[in-house]
Amino acid sequence: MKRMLIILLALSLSAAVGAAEETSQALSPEALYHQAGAAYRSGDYAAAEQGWRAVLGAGVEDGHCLYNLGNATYRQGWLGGAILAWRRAQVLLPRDPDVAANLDHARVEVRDRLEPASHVGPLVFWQRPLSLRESALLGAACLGLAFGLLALLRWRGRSRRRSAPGSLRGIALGLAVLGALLLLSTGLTYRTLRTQPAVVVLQPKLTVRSAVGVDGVELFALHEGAELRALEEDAGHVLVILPDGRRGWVPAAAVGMVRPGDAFPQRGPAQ
Amino acid sequence: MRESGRLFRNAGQPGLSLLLVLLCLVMPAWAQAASAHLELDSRQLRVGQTATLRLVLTDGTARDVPHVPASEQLRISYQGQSQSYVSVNFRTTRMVTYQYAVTALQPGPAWVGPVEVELKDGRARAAILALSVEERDAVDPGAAQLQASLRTGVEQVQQPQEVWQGQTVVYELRFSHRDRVYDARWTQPDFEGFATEPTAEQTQREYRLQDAGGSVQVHEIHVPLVVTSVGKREIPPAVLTAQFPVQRQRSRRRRSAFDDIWGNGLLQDTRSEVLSSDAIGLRARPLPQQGRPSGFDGLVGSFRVTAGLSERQVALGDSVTLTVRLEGNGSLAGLRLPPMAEQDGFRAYDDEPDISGQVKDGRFLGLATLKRALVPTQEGQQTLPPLRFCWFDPATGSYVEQALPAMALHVLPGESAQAPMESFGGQEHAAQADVEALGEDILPIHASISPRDQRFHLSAPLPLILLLLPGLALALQLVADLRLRGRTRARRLRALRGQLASLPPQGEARLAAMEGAFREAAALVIGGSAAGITPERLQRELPGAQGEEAAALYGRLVSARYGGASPDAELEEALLSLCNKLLGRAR
Repeated sequence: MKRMLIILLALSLSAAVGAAEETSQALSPEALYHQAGAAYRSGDYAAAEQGWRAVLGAGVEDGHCLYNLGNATYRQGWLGGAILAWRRAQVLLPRDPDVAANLDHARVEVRDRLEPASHVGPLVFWQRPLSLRESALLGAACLGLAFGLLALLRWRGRSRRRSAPGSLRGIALGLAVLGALLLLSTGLTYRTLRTQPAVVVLQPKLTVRSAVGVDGVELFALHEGAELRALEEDAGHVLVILPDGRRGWVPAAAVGMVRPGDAFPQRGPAQ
Repeated sequence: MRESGRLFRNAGQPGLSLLLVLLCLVMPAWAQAASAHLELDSRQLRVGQTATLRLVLTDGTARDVPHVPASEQLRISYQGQSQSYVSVNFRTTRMVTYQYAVTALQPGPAWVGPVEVELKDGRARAAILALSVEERDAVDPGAAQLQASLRTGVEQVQQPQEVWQGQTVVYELRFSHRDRVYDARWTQPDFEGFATEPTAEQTQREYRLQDAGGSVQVHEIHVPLVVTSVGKREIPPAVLTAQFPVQRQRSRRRRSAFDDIWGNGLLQDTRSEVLSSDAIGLRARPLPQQGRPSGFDGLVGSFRVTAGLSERQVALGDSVTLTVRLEGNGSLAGLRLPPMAEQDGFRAYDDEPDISGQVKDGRFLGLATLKRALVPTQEGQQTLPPLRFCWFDPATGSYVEQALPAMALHVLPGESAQAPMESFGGQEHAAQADVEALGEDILPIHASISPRDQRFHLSAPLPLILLLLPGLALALQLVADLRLRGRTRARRLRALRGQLASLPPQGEARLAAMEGAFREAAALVIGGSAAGITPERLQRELPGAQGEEAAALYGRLVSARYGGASPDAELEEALLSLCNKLLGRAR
């Protein structure tokens, strides 16, 4: 019994020491972020990339972190990864001029001349300068304001026994329409982002086939950094479509989805 | 150089003019120095003719109607006055025009003016005008005539026999006629040995002269020219083609309103007449070599020069502006300020000269505004070196040299006094080029921010709170309204039942109570107020046969109550039955 107690005490002590060691090694996402920045400035781009990957892996979906990750991958010569990171950053920071400038810079190096695919459709063009969070917040604020105004008008009308001015009701109605429109467009954009996102080719050369597997005919070839749109995913493959309507299947590992929440892909051995 | 043109111009737009005048009236008039000048429609009159003379007083108020002296060949009578405002660059000028009629009495050279105008706050002087009065026209005073003449800027009316090389003259074509003219086009002669003055354009004007035969319409065209070559010159005749109306034989028909339309030249018979002027011969003399100043650069005319500095005190390194104005009767095209040496204590940067010209009252008037930015290079009291201008004056036939008085400038110590001053003008400026791009790169990382989760959730709390709280408030309001409406309805139903149970026994009161109850019951079913119930609404909004029955019963009730028909038990019973049915539906 006494021996058992000693073993238990030793085990609990070792567990406590191990936990303490682990705590000291686990850095906060903010510390990791700045550590990666220091590595980048010292020219250690691989370490910087790992640092920012760790921040994203910790569940912090941050546009600046994705932007920096794009810089680090670009410095290491991975054009596809850089464009993917910047595209993801642009979803979260749609008005950031640095992101746009770097994307413009990188797109010059892309071999395929394609109009970059976007998750924002032309019918909801007002979503382009807004992130999903912003548009949802704005839509909810407009609709909430409209509801609040209508409630206030009803309350005043009942207490004063007269109807509210038409102009205020018009404002409330306009706000309600605006809010509903924004929420609807946010939902549509979110749906597109989840189900049919833009994809970026990560390999130097990618052959697009007519069907999944070896039976598929080689339709056309794409090159690293090309941005197109995914239509569906099936069995580790993605059906992609070009702006001119041509479509075909590619391995999912060969492309990166422009979905900020997804794990950032590793650079494959083929590259 | 041959050019043709229409002689008549379109009338201005009265609406626009009125608007401008109103605009000027509401704008404050800025105080300006008053000035006065004379304008005479024609400088050539025949005995018996009357022309209009205007004395224009700018930015001043005369104590009384100014008296205009004139030579004994003329008689002047005051006609009236008018006032106008002109606004240029938000600066409003008030002009009072006194109008006089000048009648020629005897032939010979004549003059009007000068006019001394007594103002409320000073005096203004209008310069003398010379004109010539000729004998009465021996031919036909009313016949159309075309006359060409050459005018110099010198105040004389006789045709010049000699001009100087470089002198600016005005070719005047004068078309006078008594009859109506529908269209007149002139062909410009070749001005060989002359060049068109580049800073001024050809102008036109129209006026009327009065004589014993009535009024004579005069059109004048003025073309400013510069004498370019020497020797004997002749300007060939100008030709003008005019359309005159043909007088029809008188008919006995009375004039109708359409005559004004048909008679405006559109359908009027016309005759075409070609008129030509006399050729003008003269001699162009070269400018004399004797007495020619060293700085002479071809300025010919009589000029007046004024100059001023924008500041009299300036910090070292800052600049002041020297403004020089020249005006006179010669061309100023191409004029530049005399250069200034660096050792004069200033560095000079010249603006592009503003040079213009115009023909006014048949005379050419040139105006040049020259600006020079001066940057002092030494502290202390500095004196601007005097600027010299020289020109050849055709009126005197000699060169004139005028030096502007030296201007003093106090230069204070400036921030740039310690540092060596480098020129930023001239060739150094021209040697600059766009920044050359050596390469391109991505932009740097975002280092100084703290990462935060920007993930988007459909169930994010803030939008939901923003949306749900006011939505809940509205929903509660709606529920409360519905409950209130239900309670009100139940109360109305109870009251209606009580009303039906306690109807008056008979007579008008019973009918009135029945009508009220019927209206209330119908309003509870189809909505709205009891007062708004009509047979049409009943028929339209109550379902099928019930609607028709209700409309019919309501009609009978109304005719029983208001139309004198006698109420019967069957109607009352049917009404009570219908009311109960409606109450059943309303519940």
